[in-house]
Amino acid sequence: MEMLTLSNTKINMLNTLAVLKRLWMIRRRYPASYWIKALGPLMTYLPFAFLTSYISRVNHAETSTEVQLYIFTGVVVFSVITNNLSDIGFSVLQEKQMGTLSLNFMVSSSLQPLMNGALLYSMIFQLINIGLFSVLGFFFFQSHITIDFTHLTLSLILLFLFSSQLSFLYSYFLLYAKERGTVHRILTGGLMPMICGMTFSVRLFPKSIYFISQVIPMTHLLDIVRYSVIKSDISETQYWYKIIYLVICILVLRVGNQKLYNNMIRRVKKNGDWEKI
Amino acid sequence: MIVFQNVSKVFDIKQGKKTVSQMKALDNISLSIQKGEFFTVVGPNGAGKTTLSKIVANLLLADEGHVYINHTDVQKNPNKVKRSVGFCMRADRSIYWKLTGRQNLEYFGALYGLYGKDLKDAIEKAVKDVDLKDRIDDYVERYSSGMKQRIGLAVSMLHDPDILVLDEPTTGLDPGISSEIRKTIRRMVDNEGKTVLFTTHMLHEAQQISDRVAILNQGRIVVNDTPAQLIETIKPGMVLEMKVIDFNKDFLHTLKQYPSVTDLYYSDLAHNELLLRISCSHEENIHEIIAFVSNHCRRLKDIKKEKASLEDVFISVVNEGIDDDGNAYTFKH
Repeated sequence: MEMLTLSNTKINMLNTLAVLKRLWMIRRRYPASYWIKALGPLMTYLPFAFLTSYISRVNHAETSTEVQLYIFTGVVVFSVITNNLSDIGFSVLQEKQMGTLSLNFMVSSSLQPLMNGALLYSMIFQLINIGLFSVLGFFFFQSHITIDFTHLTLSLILLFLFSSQLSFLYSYFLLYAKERGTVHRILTGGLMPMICGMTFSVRLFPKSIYFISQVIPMTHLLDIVRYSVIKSDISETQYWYKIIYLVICILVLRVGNQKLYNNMIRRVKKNGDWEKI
Repeated sequence: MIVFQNVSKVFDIKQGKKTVSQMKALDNISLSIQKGEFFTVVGPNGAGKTTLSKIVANLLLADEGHVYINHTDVQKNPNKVKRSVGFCMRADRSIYWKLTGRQNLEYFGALYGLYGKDLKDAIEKAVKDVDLKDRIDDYVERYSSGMKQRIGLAVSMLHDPDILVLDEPTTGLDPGISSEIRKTIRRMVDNEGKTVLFTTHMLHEAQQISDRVAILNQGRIVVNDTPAQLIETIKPGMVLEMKVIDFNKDFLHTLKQYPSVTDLYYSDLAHNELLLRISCSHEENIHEIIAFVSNHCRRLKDIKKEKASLEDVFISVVNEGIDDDGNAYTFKH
């Protein structure tokens, strides 16, 4: 049979596409969910941005539009991270709940295609989200934006790479952990976006919190995306330092992920916890 | 060909994060299943059947020992093994309910590395084999339990594997559907030369379809042979089963001394009721035995006379019976 002659790489690619197709087919049964997923981040942003722009003059920005633009870029970055985390991480949780995780592992001999497929699926919606945000940004902030497309492209690539590695880390953790999304809430909700400077510049924080924010890679992701769009907060040299820091973080996550995946699979296989949630 | 070589598996029993005890799920299992053989592992719930299947499926790591499929170590080279083995666990939990049967097959077929015409042909063949042609484009959530099980079976056969590992594929199904599934699997062994490792707690099922049966109890293989041979060597003759109501247990001792009674097992049921299974070497003494028991109780009911079966072998070697739900109940000797 044909499958016997295929290389592992080709099988992994085909498996990834199969997962993407499956996710798409399930979503197709509920057309309203396309719109919710595509428009969700935008709908979350709009009331938040309008309200915040009126009350946040304490921010370093001088006008309401600048405040909005500041928040706007913050929401774009965090919506990408949040969506990737939930699409990839929760796909593992869902498979565990449904009992399909073990069959996927048996048939495919690796769960990587399952996560890669979820990442591809998530990326489609991220691109739609970013497209919609771009249209909105162009419409409202046209005169305030000075986009440097080279920097923006590099920043977005790093944003996707970092968020996907972070999501893989989360999904590997979910493979073994008895967890229902607490880590996801810590990473994307509550204080974390604030500490990273989603709505207020981190320079306004007390020194101790400022120090913490500088260790978190998300802070630097926000900075480089903002630098590419509104040239705020940082210098060109700082931009490149941040790029280097983020590349190192991505590489560390990549290596750590590989070790964690093997470790988690071994632990799941040792205890047979394919359905433990 | 599947070979189990001294396979043992121990699970930690935990309370919170603390390990409070250990449970030996498999204890030094050594087995060899030949090509084209229908091999069944029977045992009550908790005997270790699913653990055994999961180790073959590479879902569990054995603590000790090795499993070889066609001379390849399952744990060392899972990708190679995957291509020659099809697994079917409880299908109601391992297929996507929000997809149609066909979409499920397309998905898992793609995971097996099948595409294009190969995938289409494989789906057609699998659907035909499990007789699901009429409902294949329906959503799985609308399927009956039997249909879900059949689609699970179709998934396991998609890549035309030499070996099928089927973990309790008939559990929870009505007898008609179970029988259909058994026939389908048996047909694949007879016509296509497939090797089947089948687990069940239904002893009559194992006796009916298996070339060879292993009785698994508390993680150990107690006996392992063809059903006919097991019956012949362990339980020849007839078996009389009856329910005895309002009795004095002393009569059991006298009954054991009866010349043609070779063995006697009983299990306490509710309300002063006893389930009695008597093995007899001579059929002509049966009426005499019934009369004797009848004289020592208020009432007898559900009297059955049958040839000794795998169930009797099981009771004889394990001192337990298995109820319809797969739970063990004790028989006294």
